[in-house]
Amino acid sequence: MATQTTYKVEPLETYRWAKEVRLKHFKEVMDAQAEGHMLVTGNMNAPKDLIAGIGHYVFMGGEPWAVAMAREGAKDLFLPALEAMEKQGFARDMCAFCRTFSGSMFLGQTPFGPFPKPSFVLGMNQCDSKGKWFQIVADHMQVPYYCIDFGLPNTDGTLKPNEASIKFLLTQYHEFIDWLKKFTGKPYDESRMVHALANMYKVRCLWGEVLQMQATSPSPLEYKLLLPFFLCLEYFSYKDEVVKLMTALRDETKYRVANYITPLPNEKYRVLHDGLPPWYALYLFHFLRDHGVSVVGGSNHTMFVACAQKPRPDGSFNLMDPMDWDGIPKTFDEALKWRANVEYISNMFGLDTRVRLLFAREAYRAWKGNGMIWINDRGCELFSMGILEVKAALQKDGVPCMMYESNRCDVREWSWSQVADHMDAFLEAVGVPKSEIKKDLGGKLGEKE
Amino acid sequence: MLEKFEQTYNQHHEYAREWKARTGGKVLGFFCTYVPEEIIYAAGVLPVRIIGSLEPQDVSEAHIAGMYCPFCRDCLAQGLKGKYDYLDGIVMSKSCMHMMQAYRSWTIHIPITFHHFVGMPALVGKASAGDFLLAELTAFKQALEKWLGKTITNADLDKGIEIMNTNRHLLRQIYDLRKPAPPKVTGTEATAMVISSMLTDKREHSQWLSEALKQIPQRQDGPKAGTRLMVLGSENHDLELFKLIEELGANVVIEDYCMGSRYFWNEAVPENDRLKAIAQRYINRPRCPLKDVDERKRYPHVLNLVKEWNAQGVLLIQQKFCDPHEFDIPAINKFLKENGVVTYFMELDVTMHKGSVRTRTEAFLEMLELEAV
Repeated sequence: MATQTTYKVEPLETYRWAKEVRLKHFKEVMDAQAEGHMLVTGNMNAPKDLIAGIGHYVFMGGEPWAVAMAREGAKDLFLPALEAMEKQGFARDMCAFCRTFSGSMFLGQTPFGPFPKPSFVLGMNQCDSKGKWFQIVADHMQVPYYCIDFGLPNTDGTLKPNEASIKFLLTQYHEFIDWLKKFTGKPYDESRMVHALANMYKVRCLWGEVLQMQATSPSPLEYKLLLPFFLCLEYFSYKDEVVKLMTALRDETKYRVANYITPLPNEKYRVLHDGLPPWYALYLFHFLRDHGVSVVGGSNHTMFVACAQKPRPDGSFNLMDPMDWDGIPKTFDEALKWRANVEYISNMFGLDTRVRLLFAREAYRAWKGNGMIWINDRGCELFSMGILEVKAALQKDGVPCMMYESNRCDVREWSWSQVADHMDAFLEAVGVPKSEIKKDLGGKLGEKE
Repeated sequence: MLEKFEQTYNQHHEYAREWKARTGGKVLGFFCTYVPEEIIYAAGVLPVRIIGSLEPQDVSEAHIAGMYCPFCRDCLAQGLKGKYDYLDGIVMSKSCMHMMQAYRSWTIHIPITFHHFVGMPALVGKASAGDFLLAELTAFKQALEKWLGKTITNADLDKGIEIMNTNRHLLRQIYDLRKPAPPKVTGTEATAMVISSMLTDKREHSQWLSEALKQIPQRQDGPKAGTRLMVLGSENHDLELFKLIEELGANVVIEDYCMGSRYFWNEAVPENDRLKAIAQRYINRPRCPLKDVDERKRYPHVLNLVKEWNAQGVLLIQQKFCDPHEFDIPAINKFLKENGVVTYFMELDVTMHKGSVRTRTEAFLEMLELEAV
């Protein structure tokens, strides 16, 4: 049994800043048209940063808007949006991000005001849902749809890039830029795009350094604190402001490590949570905290690191490899090539079970985990793909594992009592004495974060 | 003669085992119809599509999450149960994530000497999609050569293309026989022909088709004229569905799904670069929803089939949890209705509840009769 140590706790100053950046983004989207900015909507992996070449634009990412509804507008908009999608004839087992976002579109409402009409839709076809999701959006909004395809190639299950796949992406990026110039009638300033991609690169380096510090025990941060930063990393990393934010986060994390400051005064166990959380039930992480369990991160956090490190010749991944600050793209071609590499690694993580296992094992090793949790997301084939095989492999490695079935963005598929049953056995396997395992949430059910 | 196709389908494992014993050749199982069988035939190997047993199973659950489609879980179950123990290898071409999961789990748990993934682009309308597919087909050919220890020549590829094109051409002729009223072959018979072509040596299958094409015009036991239906949607290889529909007096005259017309509709057009010709064939084939992401080209193709085969109504079928079709069904339903086509949606599982399907089909047929009035 682990011994009880009490660590110093201090609030994370940059957390508030990250939430402000997030809120500012929502406001930017709502004000885009009134302020004469081009509004583009699409999914997380869409190469939104390439739009920077034509000047200022605002990107409305489908996933964070769905999360905003799950977090902020549960009563007024969240369920009606899901139901609006079903009224259109769409099945309830489809991607819940898609259903929430598109349902909101059909209702014409967002938590922040009327659903805005974008100038065009930019998609990245990475799974069975994303390309089709934004086809629905473009059809309904009656705006052009530009979609980029990821050519998943035959590989050896490592991160060694496939030349044909990278070339396919690069060709499409060039075609998209040509299309963008024609569509907007604006000149394309390559240096702006390079600047955006350089920002994205720097943000990934900073993120990598933060995650490397998460290997410290006690961990300076934990899963829930990382969420708003994760959003900034995924959606706005091309912005100067996000580089500043992430620099501040990295520096504050350094300070916390040096001073043994942690979110959990009683961190005894370190576990990983793979996959996106049930956004309407983040109290799950409070429950774990109450047992001295720090959720240090997930392997889906670490996949953003690999593309800003020097590639290993054998295609493997080591979270602790130094970030390659010399690799910041400086030219148009370098920027595009690096962007394609980002896309490649991100998709290999999602689509190749062997790569997912590579990341899961490495995150567990580097972060010195005591157990691993997966959400088996009923609405997401991408994040559920291969996880049963990954879990089985880690169990063979001797890792205490837990999987709960739910849906990240459909509260109707959430059952705390079912999750709690799994949690009970898992906590015991991690090392929490049976007598200390709480049976209820202590009034946290439905608590607003 | 026509019974032979269904019999072979029902005994496809026995057929493959017997083929292997007879020829001493290797057999490759493939998932989804984007796998370039031309190259497999060129290598002298028999490609057979991996299908489920249409029976409940409980062995896939440890490997594939429950929200994946029952078809992919049924396919994996057959492998785990050893039903495909005669396979020397498997091939997957990028289609949906459901089938990819079945493929990945198969490579982990079932001993085979060869497995290969062929990257098939989704946005097939992109100018560069063909180049990417060509690179993937080249890699596939090289992998086969390494595995078999022999070179696949242009002459071999020509042979592979010819085998596939002949079979496709003959199946198109069979489908033309479904245009008259009454059709000359039932939907059940035609579907058995298509599915059995995926499970047998196409050289032999094409001989059976040629024979059938001679006999069909003379047949006295052909279908009676009934309400003409099109079946549209996701994977289904349960012939009982077609039998049930046709027992109710309807004629299934055309389908658009991967166990039907989509499998064989277009031929590879020969060109100097054989692999390029094969790549173009798969780029240009009728699209499933997953490959219809940019401009919706699937819809006019479907409407054209409705018109050309004079279907009075369209039965939209969908394998439970099949996301690609779930995304498309509301839009294609709307499109067909806007074009004056009556539709009815039916969700399927690997095991079919006949009573429910019968009642619903009857209701649909009544709807169509009312439309006619």
